[in-house]
Amino acid sequence: MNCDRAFDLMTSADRQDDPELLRHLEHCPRCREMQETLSPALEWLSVGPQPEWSDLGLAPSETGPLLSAQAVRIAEAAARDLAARRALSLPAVYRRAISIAVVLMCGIALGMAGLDGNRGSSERPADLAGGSLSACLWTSENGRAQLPNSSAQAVVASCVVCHVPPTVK
Amino acid sequence: MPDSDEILMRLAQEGRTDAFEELVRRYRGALLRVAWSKLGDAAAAEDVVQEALLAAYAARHTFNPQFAFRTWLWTIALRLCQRQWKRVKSPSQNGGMIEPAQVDSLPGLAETGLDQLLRSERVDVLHRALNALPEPQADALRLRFFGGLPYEDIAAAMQSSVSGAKQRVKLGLERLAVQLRQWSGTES
Repeated sequence: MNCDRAFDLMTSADRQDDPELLRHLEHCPRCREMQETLSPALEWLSVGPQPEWSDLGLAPSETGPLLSAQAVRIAEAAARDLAARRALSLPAVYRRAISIAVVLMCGIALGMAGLDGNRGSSERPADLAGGSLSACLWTSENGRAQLPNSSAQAVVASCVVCHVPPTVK
Repeated sequence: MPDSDEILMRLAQEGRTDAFEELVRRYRGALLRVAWSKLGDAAAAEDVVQEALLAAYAARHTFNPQFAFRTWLWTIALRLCQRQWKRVKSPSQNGGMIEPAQVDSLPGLAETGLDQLLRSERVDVLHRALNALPEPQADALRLRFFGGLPYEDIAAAMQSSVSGAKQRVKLGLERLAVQLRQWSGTES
């Protein structure tokens, strides 16, 4: 039993002594605390009057009841709301499933991109420096010849790509 | 095996009044308890419940029996109670206290006069405490404890989520506990 189910039983007029609930309360300090907090109200509500109305022999007041047009409209609106609520609840399930799928796909895509990025940085460090550099200029003299733009910025960028850990930004 | 609400409602839609009468028998008591608790007046509660049942019957053809009948009926009753509550504003002219005549006729209690007095006082305190709560919380408590509704039905009748309905009940109980402790301490 989880805490949500325990709350259901705790706030049920006739299930407050359910053995399953009592077992849960033995092991769950959070629910035990909640029950202690709520118990005065629960006790009052459980001893509240719940007469069988028909036994009371009560009759409607002399002025009523009259079925008003407004009451019928309320009933019709409630019927529509019920249908709308059902209609809304089903797409919500689908929407949630789609959201989860999109998040998962994004996660997978990002993960794969990360792997590719790491692989790429080790194999082609200078690509990220914005040129056709394919090797570290420090270790490869040939690379210098391939440098399309021998500006200081390009050289530094090629070094950074290779020698600064990827976690450092 | 008794027919389900939905089967009875289909029969009622086909013109079987006895089927609707069975539905009335099933729900009238619980509806009255909630209405009386909200309105604090037995006759007014009886009127509202009667009107809710009549309205459900009058609008029976707009109801789709693939949905839960009880949710529909509770929604109607709750809205009519709220309408009546707003009209009256003062929740009960006698402070929600049960009439002595009603206490006398409660079945099977066999209480002494003192017991009845104490019980009546407790009922009075409970009703005043409920009426002092925010309306959504008090309604959720009434539906849960006097109507015996599951949280799914409370949520549908109050147009909230199930977790919202539970939250209302929880908050309502917390406030009620504080109030009842204070009031019973003050009045004892």
